[in-house]
Amino acid sequence: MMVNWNRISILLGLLWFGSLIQASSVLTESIDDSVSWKNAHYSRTIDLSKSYVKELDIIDIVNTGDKPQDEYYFIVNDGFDSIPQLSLISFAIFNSITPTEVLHDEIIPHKLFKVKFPTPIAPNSNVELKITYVYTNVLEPLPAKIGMEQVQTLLYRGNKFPYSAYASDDYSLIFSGIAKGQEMELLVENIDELNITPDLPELKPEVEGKTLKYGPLFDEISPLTLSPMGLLYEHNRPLTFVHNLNRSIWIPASDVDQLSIEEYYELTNNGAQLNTGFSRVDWLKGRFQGTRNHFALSHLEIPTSYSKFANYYFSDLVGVISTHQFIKDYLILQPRFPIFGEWKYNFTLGWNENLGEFLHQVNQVEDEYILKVPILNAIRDVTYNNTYLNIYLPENSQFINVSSPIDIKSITVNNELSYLDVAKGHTKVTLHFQDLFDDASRLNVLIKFKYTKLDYISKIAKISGFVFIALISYYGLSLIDLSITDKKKRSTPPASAQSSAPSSASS
Amino acid sequence: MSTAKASPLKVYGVNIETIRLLLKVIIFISIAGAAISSRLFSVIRFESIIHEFDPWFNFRATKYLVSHSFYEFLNWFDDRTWYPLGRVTGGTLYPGLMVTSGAIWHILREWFSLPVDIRNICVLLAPAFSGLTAISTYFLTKEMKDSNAGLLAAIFMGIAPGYISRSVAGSYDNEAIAITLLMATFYFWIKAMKIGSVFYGTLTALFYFYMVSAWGGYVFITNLIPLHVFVLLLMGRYTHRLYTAYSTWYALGTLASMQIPFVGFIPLRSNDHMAALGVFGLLQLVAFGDYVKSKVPTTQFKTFLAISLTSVILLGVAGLVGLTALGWIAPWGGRFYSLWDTNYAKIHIPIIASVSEHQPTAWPAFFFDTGMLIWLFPAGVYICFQEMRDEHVFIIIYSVLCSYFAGVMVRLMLTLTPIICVTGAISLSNLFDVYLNIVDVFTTKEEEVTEKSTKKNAKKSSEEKKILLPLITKLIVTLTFAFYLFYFVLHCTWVTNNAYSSPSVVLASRNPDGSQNIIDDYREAYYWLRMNTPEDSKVLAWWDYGYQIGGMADRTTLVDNNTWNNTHIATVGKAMSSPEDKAYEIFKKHDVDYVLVIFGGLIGFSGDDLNKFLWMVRISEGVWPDEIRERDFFTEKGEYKLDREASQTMKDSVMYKLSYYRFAELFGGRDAPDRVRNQQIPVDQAPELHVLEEAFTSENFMVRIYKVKDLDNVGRDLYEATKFENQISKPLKRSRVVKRPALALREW
Repeated sequence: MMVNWNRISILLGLLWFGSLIQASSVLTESIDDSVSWKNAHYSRTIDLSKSYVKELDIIDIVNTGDKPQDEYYFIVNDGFDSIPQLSLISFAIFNSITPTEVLHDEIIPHKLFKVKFPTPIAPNSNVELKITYVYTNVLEPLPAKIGMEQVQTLLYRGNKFPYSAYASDDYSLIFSGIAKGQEMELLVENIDELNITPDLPELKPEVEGKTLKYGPLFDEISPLTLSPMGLLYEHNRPLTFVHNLNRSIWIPASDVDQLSIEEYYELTNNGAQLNTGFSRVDWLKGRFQGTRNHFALSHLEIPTSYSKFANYYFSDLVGVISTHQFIKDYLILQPRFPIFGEWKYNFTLGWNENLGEFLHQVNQVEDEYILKVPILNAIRDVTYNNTYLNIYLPENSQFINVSSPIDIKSITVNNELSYLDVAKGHTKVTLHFQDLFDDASRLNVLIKFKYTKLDYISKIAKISGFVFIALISYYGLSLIDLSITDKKKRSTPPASAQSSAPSSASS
Repeated sequence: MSTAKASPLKVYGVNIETIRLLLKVIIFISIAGAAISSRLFSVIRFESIIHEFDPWFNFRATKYLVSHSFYEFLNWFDDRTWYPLGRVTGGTLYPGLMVTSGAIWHILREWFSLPVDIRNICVLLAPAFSGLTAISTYFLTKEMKDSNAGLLAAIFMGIAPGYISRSVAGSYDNEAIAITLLMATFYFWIKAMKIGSVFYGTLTALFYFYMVSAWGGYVFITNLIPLHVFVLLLMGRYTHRLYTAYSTWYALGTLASMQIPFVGFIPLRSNDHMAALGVFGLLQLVAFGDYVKSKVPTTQFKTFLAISLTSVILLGVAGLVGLTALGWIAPWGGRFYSLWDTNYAKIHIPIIASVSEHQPTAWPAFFFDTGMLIWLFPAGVYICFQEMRDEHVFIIIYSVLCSYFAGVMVRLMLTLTPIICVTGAISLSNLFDVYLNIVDVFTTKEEEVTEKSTKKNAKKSSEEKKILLPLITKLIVTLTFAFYLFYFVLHCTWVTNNAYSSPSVVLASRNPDGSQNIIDDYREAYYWLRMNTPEDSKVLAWWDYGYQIGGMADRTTLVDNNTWNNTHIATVGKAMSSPEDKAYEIFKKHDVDYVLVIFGGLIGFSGDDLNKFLWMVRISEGVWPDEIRERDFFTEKGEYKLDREASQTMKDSVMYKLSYYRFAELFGGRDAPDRVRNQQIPVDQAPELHVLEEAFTSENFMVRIYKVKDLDNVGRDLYEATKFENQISKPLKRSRVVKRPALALREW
């Protein structure tokens, strides 16, 4: 079967699409045939309430082999490259009540994972596996351009059936977080080259509360079943997307209890564009400014449960933005103008935190400290492309180590000259993350560094030395006589200056 | 003084001169503190932001300077303004201001490791320099009278609103440092002239050079110093000291000033500078005459003098006229003419007349800007007349000239303020010299007491009255003036707070509950332009907003506040005052992508484009009298009306349409009130746009941006195209919704 498909792709000469097919063949090749499982129950819940997609798969797996097994291959439910990148994935098993996180290997990035259970599963016994993963940049507005008073609809693309390495007995699919939805048949461009499974059982949805539920389907579903579907649903909220976030955290050298944080955002709205120019009259008539339910991004909400935002400031390249306030448990920031699809905006937000809550001395180790900071600020419903977490350690301190719960793309350590630095400047540690979403604000990075008392004192000594030298040299310079006139003349009263004047004044 | 020579007075074992020095330093620090802090109202109330219009250009130029090399800056050709002409910015600006803040930025950054934002340096430059102004005023006044008067002048200079108006934090303009340099140059000139020192003459030239590099108003110095010398010569006060000082200053100063690219050979070719050259020549002749006089008998000298004088004057005048006629020397500039004839600009150069700061001064402005100093000023001049030393002549000339100039142009109030402060301080210090001196009251008392002790006690009461009376008079006068001074400080603070501390980029109003409401429409719209239009978009707006668009929106403009090309400005005026089809031609010829107008009708902001509209009409009428006529924009009765009675030309003009496009819809079917002009805009005659479409309107409608439509791709007239679209827009949209590509609806 696979070979067949490959041949066709070569025949057609569509090399770029061939790569996809190759990927799916690689997929099957990478899976170890010796392990055999069956999915007794496969249930998918896709949360579409945010600007990103959060999928929860709960799979009840049964060992169909004849010896205990501890490895399970999990394939991300996709099959036709509708999910370009995963932002986050986690695996857990349910034994009794509490889920336990299990280790996994990423065999094909963003596609295939090998889960390793802590204890092997005996033949014919089962375990419940819970997989959560989040992916961004897959929702797109359709139609792409709408009027200001229209409701934005988004298109979700995905596989309607489980794309598993093993056969499934029982399957259900739930879409949650949507008010109104409509299934669409996707006309995928190169549909012929896709390995679409023919003759699939009918899977009809029904509305259950605020969810759209498909199934449960009790027919056996063969491995790698693919049936692309589209879901067009109303989502009248902006799809806030931050291209670049520079999050800077400044650790003071002295013992002031202040940690200053400054964030610079470059953001856009991936939602629908306006089909005309922006008319303020329509905007005012529709009262869209105050509502949360409009596809234009008119305000950002930051919960204050994470931080008190002491002495915060909100500005952009032309100065302070005055539209910000605390409302209930949120800090509300209003950009200068509502941001429609494709519109861009950037701003800076800064505030202070109490240092004591973030920085601690390493137990029993002199001069070593650990800083614990969240990766993101908790702006609601935002996805991020590049996040640069810059940590400015005091001058002359040594960066030792960093630990992060999620993948760091790169770590750079360099120096940046800042206020009153007398040597190389602050030690700057830059951590680059990619493809984050708002929940990453609950994750912390830990940074260990070394900063001795001597470094601190030597800096102060240097600065005071400079001041002292300046004063001394000023005194020394004042001793040098640079006057042009000779001493004798200077000692006489300044008659020369006034000699002409009195004569004329008296006359 | 004599006691000081014999044995220095000591208080608690400290030399009294040391105490005096200490006190002086403390006073200086307090004065500088007062001067700087009273200029920070706008920073505290709003934010650290560049104000108004011109400072935005200076700020942009400074940013260019700190991000490029100095030579690149001097050779800067700016293609983002005056599209499509561009501007040779490096050669047409006074670089002093930018170089100053650039140098401060580099020093702070590289020497002190203080990476201060260049914007903050620009914002705080003017207050910092005001402290230096106070100190140089002190030295200047000290030369006139004594250090007491100097200290008074310094504090006056520090807080006088006339100077604060141009030097609050954020008003990053040439004047911010120019007044400091003006006072310093004058101080060194007086010093050089007094002692005939080449050293001080060189310093004068140096500061003159700095002044030339910083402000076009340097011409004031170029003419004032020669005038001073000339008057002294007429008064028969020629000395070798004068000769030394003037020759040094003129030779070095002129050579130095020619190093500024924008000035170049102007000092030799412009009429504005001829007085300095003439006096320089005259001084040589006088010096020669002086030498001849010392060698020949008086009678012979008289004939020599008569002949040489007439021939020199004749030659000089003929030469000047001849060279001007030949075009070797440039005639006087337009701004200069308008100094003599206030109507000159209105008739010949509407652009100069349209600038509000070029209007004649209203008389309350004098009281407003200088408070009580305005009536101390004549007294001070009178005192100068009484003493009439060489330096007092300078004060008198300065006072007379600047009083006139300040009356002609509001802007020149700025140059009058320093001299008002100096003379005011002289008169007040004279007064205090007499009335604060209680020493002689008590000394006479002592003498009388010794005399009286031999006499009877009966006369004692009358004697006491004799002592008491002068004490009371002194007390009354002193207290009165103390009150005046106190009130002066109050007045200055009040004026600074209320009149001169608004950035004008951000407006403030009060909410019903008394809290401050910030109206930030300019930045909203400029920032929208910056973020959401292609980087090479060309924006057409009236020249007032050119610098701000360049600075905040970072987009190419057609005209800006550097009004060097009248025709180009008139073109923009013509586009605004023409009907749409004619304007469209202009838009297309100039690659205009966006048109920006300021409209204050909704919130009552009176400085909007409709209020400036008549100037646009006038300026374009000056260039195209056949196509634009001011009369057509008035009603038949000759009124400036925008409501139902507005003339057809007015209603057809692009400016009218852009300002009121969909404005009436806000008022739910009633006529829309324009709160600036108190007129009702008819709802049934709402303007329709054909060649432009609305792109953005700010929160309070103050800034409205329109996109110029492309030529129709089916080749239709844009009028027809718009009409067609308006008719069938709805069914068209529906059909588009049905035709979804790559998707098919399926029942479920």
